[in-house]
Amino acid sequence: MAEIQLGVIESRFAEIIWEHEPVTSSELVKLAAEAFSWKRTTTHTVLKRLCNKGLFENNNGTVTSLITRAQFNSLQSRKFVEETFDGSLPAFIAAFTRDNALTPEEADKIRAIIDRA
Amino acid sequence: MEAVFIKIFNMSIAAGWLILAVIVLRFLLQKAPKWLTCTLWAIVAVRLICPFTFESAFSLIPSAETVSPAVVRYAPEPAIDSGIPAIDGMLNPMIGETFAPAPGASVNPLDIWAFAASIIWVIGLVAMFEYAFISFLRLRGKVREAVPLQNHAWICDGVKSPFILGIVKPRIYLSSSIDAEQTKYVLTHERAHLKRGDHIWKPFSYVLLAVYWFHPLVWAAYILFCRDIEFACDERAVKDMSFDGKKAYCHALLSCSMPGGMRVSYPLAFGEGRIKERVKHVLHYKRPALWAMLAAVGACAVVAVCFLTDPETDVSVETTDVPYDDMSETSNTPHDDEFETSNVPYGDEFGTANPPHNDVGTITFVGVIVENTMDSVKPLILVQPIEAEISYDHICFVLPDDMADWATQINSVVSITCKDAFEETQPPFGELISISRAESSHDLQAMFRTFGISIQLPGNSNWIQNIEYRQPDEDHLEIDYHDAILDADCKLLSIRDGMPDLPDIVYDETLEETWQGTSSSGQAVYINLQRSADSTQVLASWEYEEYQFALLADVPAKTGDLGAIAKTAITVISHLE
Repeated sequence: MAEIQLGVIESRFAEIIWEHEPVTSSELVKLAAEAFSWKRTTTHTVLKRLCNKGLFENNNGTVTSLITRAQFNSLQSRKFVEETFDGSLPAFIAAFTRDNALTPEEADKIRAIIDRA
Repeated sequence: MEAVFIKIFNMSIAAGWLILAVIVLRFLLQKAPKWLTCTLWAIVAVRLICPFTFESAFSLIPSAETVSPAVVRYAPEPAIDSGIPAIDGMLNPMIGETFAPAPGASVNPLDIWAFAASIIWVIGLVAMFEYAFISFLRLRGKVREAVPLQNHAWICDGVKSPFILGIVKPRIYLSSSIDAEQTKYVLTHERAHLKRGDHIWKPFSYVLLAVYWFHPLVWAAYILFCRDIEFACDERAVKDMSFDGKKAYCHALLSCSMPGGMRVSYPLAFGEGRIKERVKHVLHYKRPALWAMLAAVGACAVVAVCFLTDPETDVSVETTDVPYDDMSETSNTPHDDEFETSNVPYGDEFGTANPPHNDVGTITFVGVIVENTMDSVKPLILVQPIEAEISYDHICFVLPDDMADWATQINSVVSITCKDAFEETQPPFGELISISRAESSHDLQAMFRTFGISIQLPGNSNWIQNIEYRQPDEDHLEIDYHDAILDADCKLLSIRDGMPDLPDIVYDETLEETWQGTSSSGQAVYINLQRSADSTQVLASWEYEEYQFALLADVPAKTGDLGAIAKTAITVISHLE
């Protein structure tokens, strides 16, 4: 089975399902609202996505898993996807930094500057 | 809309000079705290927003109105006034030639171009807003799956670099895989942004950029401003940190700037990533000495005065006769010195006053419309002044769209109030303030013909207003008007071969004065000026040939100087033949 990449929060959501399965989608919505402050629509969106990735299935409102947690973990490369962000931050947003094109060499140089100070 | 664009264009030219000055000053102030530089950018923003500003002699802006809407529309030889002779000299011959209207054309080519340009401007403006809106929606969709961390901070998958979203209820979004050490510093930075209000200033300045998208200097200003915000925010964030803390802060900055496992290329938006500079700034920044700070603040203030204010525009005074000129030369009355002390409202008559604002005097005259062109963009009328103190034979005026038909009919007699300055074109153009039907010239002429002489009041409409002529019979002529300087309602009675019917008012003999006027034939005429004890009722009386004149004024307050009454009489006399 191909590697399934999940973000940190997605994984936490998956954990919730594994812990409570089989769970009705409405119950899941409640759990997600408690844990994440998610809206109903958000929960459904993420659930759909995870189902599409082959982790879970939603049969008439009941959510069950297609692979167990243990199986999933063994398939993972343990690296969370940090960037599914397909595009730069718009210019008018206040951010921490926008520079994401540093080469490792540039990064090392800057690290040296910091450590030397 | 075209007018809006021209105004925006002029404002951007003026702002461009300010931006250049700020760029230079910013370079010189590298060692100063960055919030000072941000203040400079705030001044730029003010310049870009306010359509009006003060005029001052210190203004270094070459010209506040490079492109004049009137010139664009009507001038037979279009030209710009950038305030720099070299530029004008270079561009205007080209502009004049390229955009010269064909004789008989109803619209100036420059007008068409201006219209096209304004359309393009709007398209660009809309595009900028659309881009912003779509980006914003995209981000919003992404952060729907965010999970609260603490206070206003949330974590989210798919977020690499932390950012703030929201203006009214701003939220900080962090990457879900951020580690605890970094979190601390990132939150400090983002909170500093919030404290400084950057989550408002950034989108706000983007709006300005969207409006002025066509001006390269405004883009430069925006890019530099964004950089300066980051520096200022760094300064604020590390204000109370130990040196080790600052180093840790820089490490966090570095980690957040590095691509993770999957290399995704991020277009470097506006060069804010200048990580090396930011790191150096954080590590080496020290508050400058007090004197340096004061000097820097002083320099900013100077820039503000020099570039926030507009250049003073010259008051052009033309044509009007100075009614007192004759008197000051020929009279030897005891009131000679009174002529020197002129009040400001007489200023434009003397040609010496320089009002602080672009306030040219106005003039009212009666004229007849000799030509009109209805097929130009706006109706134009050609007016021949009659009985007026104007040196031109004909003057051209633009009429607003909603002008009544009578105002454009040839041979219609109109009373026109316009600015006392005319464009030296062929024919001269005037700036219309108001137009109204006048006593038909025939009526007025007829009146004067029957009466035997013509009576002319001073033409300065800041002074003599609301003139009404009446002719009870062929030997009587009555003129009612309002003297704005004394705020007095006045009545001028003239009678041929008779004595005027005067009201029963007791005048104080000790306050009687004598003035002298000169008729146009050079005859001296003496004016008897009487006033009541409380100086509220004034009577100026004189005679000329077989005519008797009585000027009655009802002056509201006890004014010492009733010179205006005498001067009106003198003007009337100066037109008598």
